[in-house]
Amino acid sequence: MKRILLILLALATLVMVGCKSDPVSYTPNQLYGKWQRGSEYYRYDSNMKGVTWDTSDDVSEEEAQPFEWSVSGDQLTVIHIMEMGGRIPKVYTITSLTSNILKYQDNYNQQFVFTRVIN
Amino acid sequence: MPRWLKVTLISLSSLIGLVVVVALIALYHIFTPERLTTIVNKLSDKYITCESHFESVDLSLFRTFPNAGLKVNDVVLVNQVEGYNQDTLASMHSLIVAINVRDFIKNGDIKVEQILVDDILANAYIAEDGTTNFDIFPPSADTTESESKPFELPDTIDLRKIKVNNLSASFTDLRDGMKASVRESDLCLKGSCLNHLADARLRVSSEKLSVTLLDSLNKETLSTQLSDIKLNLKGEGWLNDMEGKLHLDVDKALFSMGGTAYVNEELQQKDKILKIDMPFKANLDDLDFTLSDASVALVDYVISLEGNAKLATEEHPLTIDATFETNKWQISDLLPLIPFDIKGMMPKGMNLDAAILLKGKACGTMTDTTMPLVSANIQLTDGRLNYREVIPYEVRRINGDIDAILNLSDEGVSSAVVNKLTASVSQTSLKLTGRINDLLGNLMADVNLKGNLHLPDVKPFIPKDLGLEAKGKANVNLNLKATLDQITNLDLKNMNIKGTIGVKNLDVNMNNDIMATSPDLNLDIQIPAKKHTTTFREMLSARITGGSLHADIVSSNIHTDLSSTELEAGICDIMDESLPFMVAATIKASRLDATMDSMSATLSEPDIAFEMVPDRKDPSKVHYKVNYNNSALYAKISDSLSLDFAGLSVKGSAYYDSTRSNVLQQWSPDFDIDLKRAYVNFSQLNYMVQVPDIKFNYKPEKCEIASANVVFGNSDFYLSGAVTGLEKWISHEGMLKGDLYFTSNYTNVDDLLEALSGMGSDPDTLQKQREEDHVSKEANPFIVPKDVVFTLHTRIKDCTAFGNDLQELAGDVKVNDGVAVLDQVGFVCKAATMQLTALYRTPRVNHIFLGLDFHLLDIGVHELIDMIPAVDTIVPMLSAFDGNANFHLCAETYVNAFYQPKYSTLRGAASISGDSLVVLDSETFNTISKYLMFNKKTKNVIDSLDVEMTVFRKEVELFPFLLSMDKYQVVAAGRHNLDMNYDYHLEIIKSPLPTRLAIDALGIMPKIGIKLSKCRYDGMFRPEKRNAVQQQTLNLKQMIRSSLEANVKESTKKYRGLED
Repeated sequence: MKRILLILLALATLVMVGCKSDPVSYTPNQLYGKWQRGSEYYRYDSNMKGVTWDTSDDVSEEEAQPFEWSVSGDQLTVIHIMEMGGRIPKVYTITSLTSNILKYQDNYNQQFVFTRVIN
Repeated sequence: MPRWLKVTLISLSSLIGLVVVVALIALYHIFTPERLTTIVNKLSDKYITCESHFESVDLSLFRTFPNAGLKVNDVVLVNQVEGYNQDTLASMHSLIVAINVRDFIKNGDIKVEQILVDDILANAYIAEDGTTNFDIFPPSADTTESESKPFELPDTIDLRKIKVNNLSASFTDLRDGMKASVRESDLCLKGSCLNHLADARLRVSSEKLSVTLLDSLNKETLSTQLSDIKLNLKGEGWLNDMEGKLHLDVDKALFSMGGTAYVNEELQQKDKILKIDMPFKANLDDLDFTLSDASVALVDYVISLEGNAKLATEEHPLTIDATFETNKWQISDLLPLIPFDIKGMMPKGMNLDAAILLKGKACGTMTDTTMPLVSANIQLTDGRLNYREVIPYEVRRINGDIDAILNLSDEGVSSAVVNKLTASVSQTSLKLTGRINDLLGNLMADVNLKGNLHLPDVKPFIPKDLGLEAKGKANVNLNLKATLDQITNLDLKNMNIKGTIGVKNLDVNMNNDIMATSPDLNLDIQIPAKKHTTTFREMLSARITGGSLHADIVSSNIHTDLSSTELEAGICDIMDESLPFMVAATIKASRLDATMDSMSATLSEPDIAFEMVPDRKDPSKVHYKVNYNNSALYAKISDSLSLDFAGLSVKGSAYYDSTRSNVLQQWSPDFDIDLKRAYVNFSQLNYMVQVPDIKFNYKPEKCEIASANVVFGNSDFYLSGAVTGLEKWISHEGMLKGDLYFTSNYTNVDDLLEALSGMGSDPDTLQKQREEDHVSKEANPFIVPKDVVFTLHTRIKDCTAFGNDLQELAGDVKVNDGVAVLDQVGFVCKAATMQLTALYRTPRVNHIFLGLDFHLLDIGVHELIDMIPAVDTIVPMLSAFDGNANFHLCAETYVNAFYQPKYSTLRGAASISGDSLVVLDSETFNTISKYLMFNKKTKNVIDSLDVEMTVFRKEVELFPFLLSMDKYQVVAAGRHNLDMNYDYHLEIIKSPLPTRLAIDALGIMPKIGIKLSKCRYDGMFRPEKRNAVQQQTLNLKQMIRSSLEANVKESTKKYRGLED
C-alpha cells in the first residue's frame, strides 16, 4: 500500500511537471512608450526610468511622478521614487504583452490591463 | 460952498478953457499935417535906412489931452532880406506919441507921456548868418567904443501909457531856431518909478500866441500855442516893498515837447484851461517874492500857493519857503486830461477813481547840489479801482493819509509815511500803515498790513484747475520790510516779513474731494526763517497752531481730526528757480483721529519732524528725514483687526528716485522703528496678540530685526535676524531672502499656521492661477511665494503641534522659491527623539505638494499611536505591542485646492523596527493565540520586529515580516486599501506542530473573515531555503528601510534637547 501511494505520488508529480508551461520572457524594448488604463498613464522610458500620472486627479504628464523599472523574465519591477526620499517597490507578473496591450498582475492577483498610447 | 466962490470958479474955468481952445486952434493952423508929413518923411530918410512911408502926420490934441500928440498915419517900413518871404518889416495904421506940453513950454523937455499904436503888423527875421530885417537904423557917427555897462533901471521912469491895439507880429530866428507869433493882441502898459516908488500896470490880451523851438535839424523840440490870453499885472509901492497881483487867463492851449503832446484832445476841449491868480508882495531889490492866497488852476484843478520865493542873485541862491494845497481832485476826471503817453504807462484795463487832496510845503534853496525840501500830505478819499485782469473785484473805499517828504538834493533821501491806507474788496478790508524810505531811489518799505479777509474773496486768485474753495475769515497782521526791487522781483529771501494770520471758521473744499474745517487756526510766518536746519537754508518759517482741524478725503474715504495742533515749517527760497523745493516741518498735536473706509486710527500726542531736501544736482531725487513719535496709537480695521500701541517711534531717512522701478527702490528707506507694548486683536483669533517690544532697522536691501517679542495667544516668541533683497524681489529682479532666529518658551504651531494661512501670496498672480486651474472660490489654499528664500532657525522649549506636546524643538523652517520646508527639525517628546522634515510646494493652486519625512527614534509604541493614529490603521496589529521602537515614515501626495488628496499621487513608505516588544493581551493577539494555541505561561515578548510597509495610491502593502515568540515564528504580510478592504496573510513557519499553518484574513473591516491558507514564506527567513523571489522580497524590504533611515541625521540620533 505504501509503495502504491509513493508511485501515485510520483506519477502525480510527473504529470504536474509535465504540464508546466515554459517560462515567458519579455524585454524592456517591448515596454518602451506610453500606456494607458482609463485615466491612469505609465510611460516607460529607454533609460529604465519612467513616470506615471492620472488625469482624473488633474495631473498632467509634465507633473507626473517618477519611477524606475526593470523586466526580468515575466517579472516587471517598478520602484516609485519619492521626492521625500523613500522608495516604493511594486512587482508585477506580466501576463500578456503585445505591441498594443500590456497585462500584468500583482501578487494579490489584481489584474492590470493597459493599452499603448500612440502619439 | 459959498455961492460967490462957486460962481467965481466957474467963470475962471470957462476963461481958461477958452484960452486953451484958442491956443490949440492957433497951433493946429501953424503945424498943419502937410507940413508935419513933409518934415517926418525927410527925417525918416535920414534916420531909417530901409524904405519907409508915412502917409500923414498931424497933431493930436484931443485923444492925448491934456498932452499934445504927434500922430502918424499909415506907416510902412519895407526891408527885403534875402531868404525871407516877407518884405514888410512893419506897418501901422496909426502911431501917436504924446508929450507933456507944459514941460516942453516951460523947460523945453520932451517927455513922452503916451504912445498909442493901432493896427500894427510886424515881421521880424534873423537869418542863420545873423542878418536881420529890423536893423534899419544907420550906424552911429560916434565910433568911440564905450565901456559896456550892465543894465540898470533908471532912477525915474514915468510911463503914463503905452497902448497897442491890434498887434499881429511874427518873429523868425533861423540862427537860434525859434518861431513866434502873436495875433490880434492888445497891450496897455502904464507905470512910473520915481525914486524907487513904483506903480505899474500891464494889461495884455491876445487872440493867439505861438512859440516854436527848433533844433539844428529843423525839428520841433517845443511848441506852444495859446489862445484868448488875458494877462493883468499890477504892482505898486517901493521897489523893496511892492504889492502886486498877477492874473493870467488862457482859454485854450496846445503844448508839445520832444514830440509828446501834453495837452490832449480831451483837454483841448476844455475852456479856460489855465488860470493864475497871484497876489504878491515883492522886494525887487532882493528879488524876493511873497505869495499870499495865490492859485494856479489847470481847468478845475487848483493849486493854492502861499509863501516866499527868493530868486537867485549873485548873493544868494533861489530860496523857497512856501506852502501849497490843492482842491479836491477827482482822479476819474483828471485822468482823461493826462497826456496820452502818460496814460499809456498805466496798465490796460485799469480804472482808478479817487478824490485826492494835496497839501504841503516846499522849503530850502536851489543850488547845484541842493533842492528845496518838499513835504506833502496826500489825502485819498472814496477811491475805487477796477482792474479785473488782476483783481476780479472792484476795490472800494480806498482812503489814504500819506505824508511824503521829497528831498531832491544830492544824496538826499525822500520818504513817505503811510498814516493810513485802507481799502475794501468784496467783503474783505485791508489797512496799510508804515514808512517808505528812499522814495526816488531804491524804495524801501517798512509797512504793516492788517486785514480782515473773507476767504471766499480769495477764490478768483486761485487757479481754476485746482478746484479749491475756501470759506471763513482771516485776520491778517503782516509786517514787511523790503525794497521796491525786492517786491517787484519777489526777492523773498532778502525781504523781512513777519506776521500772523488768524483764521476763523475755516472750511476748505477741493474738488468736493479734499475738505478741511477748523474753527480756529493761527498762522505765524517769518522771513527770513527763525531758525535754520543744517541741510538747507530756510527762507520762510511758518507756525500753525489751532484748537482742532478736521480733514476729509472723500475719494479715499479718509477722515481725520487733529486736536491742539502745532505745526512748524521752514521752507527754502521758493522764488529761486535754480533751487528745488525744500521744507522742514514739525507737527505736534494732542490727538489725531483718522478713518479710511472701515479703518480708523487714533494717535495720542503725535510728534513728527519731517524734512524734504531734493538733490541739488538732480532735483527729481529727494532726501527725506522723518522722526515720528507718539505716546499711544489705536487703530481698527472694521471688526477684523484692532491695534493698540503704547508707543511708536520711527526715525530715519529716505532718498526718493522716481526712475527706480518699485516703491522701495524709489524711496530707499533707512528707518529705525521702535514699537512698545502693542496689542493686536484679530477677529478670527480667539486671543490677543501682544507685542511687548519690536525694534528693527530697515536699510535699502536689508531689514534687520534687532528684537521682536511677540505673545501670540499662549505662544511667545522672540524674533531676530535679517531680511534682504526686498527691493529687487518686488520688481521680480531677485529673491527675497530671510534668515531669522525664532526663540520661544512655548509655541502653539496650530495657532500659528491658522493665523498665517493664506499670507504672502500675490493676489493678481494667485487669481490668474485660480482661473487657469478652474479653482472654486471657496477653496483658499496657502500658496508659497516664489522668489522667496527664508530660513527660520527655531529654538522652542515647549511646543504644541497637531495636538501633540513637543519639547526642546530645534531646527529650520525654510521657504525656498515656492517650496516650504520644515527642515530636519529635531525635537524631544515624552516618548521619543524626533526628526521631522516637511515640504509644502505649490506649483499650481489646484496641485499642491505635501511631503513628510518623519523619524521617531526609540519611541513608545502606544505614544507613537497616540501621536499618529493613522499608524494603527496602517499597521493594525501594532496596538498589540508595547515597548520602544524606531519609526520612520516618508509620505507625500499632491492635494487639490481644498487640500483633498489626489490618491493617484499618494506615495508612502514606513518602517518600524524594535526589539523585545511586549505583546499585549489584545483581541487580535487572543484570536491569534487561540488559533495557534499559545502557551499562556509563555512570556509575551517578541524578539524582534522589522516591519516595512508602503503606500501606493490607495493601496497599503505590508511586506512580510517575522514575529518570533516562544516556540513560534510567525510571518505576516498583506495589504489593504484605504477603503479598509483587507487581504492579510499570517503564516506559522515554526511551531510545535508537525506541519506549517497559514491563515488569510480577508474582508472589509470590521467584517474580517479568517480562513486557512497556503503557506508562502517558509524559506524566506531561512537563508538556506530562501528562493529568488523571497530574496528579492527581502531586498525590497531592505531597500525601503535603507531609503528611510538614510534621511536620519546623525545629530538627531544624538539629540537630547536644547542646549542652554
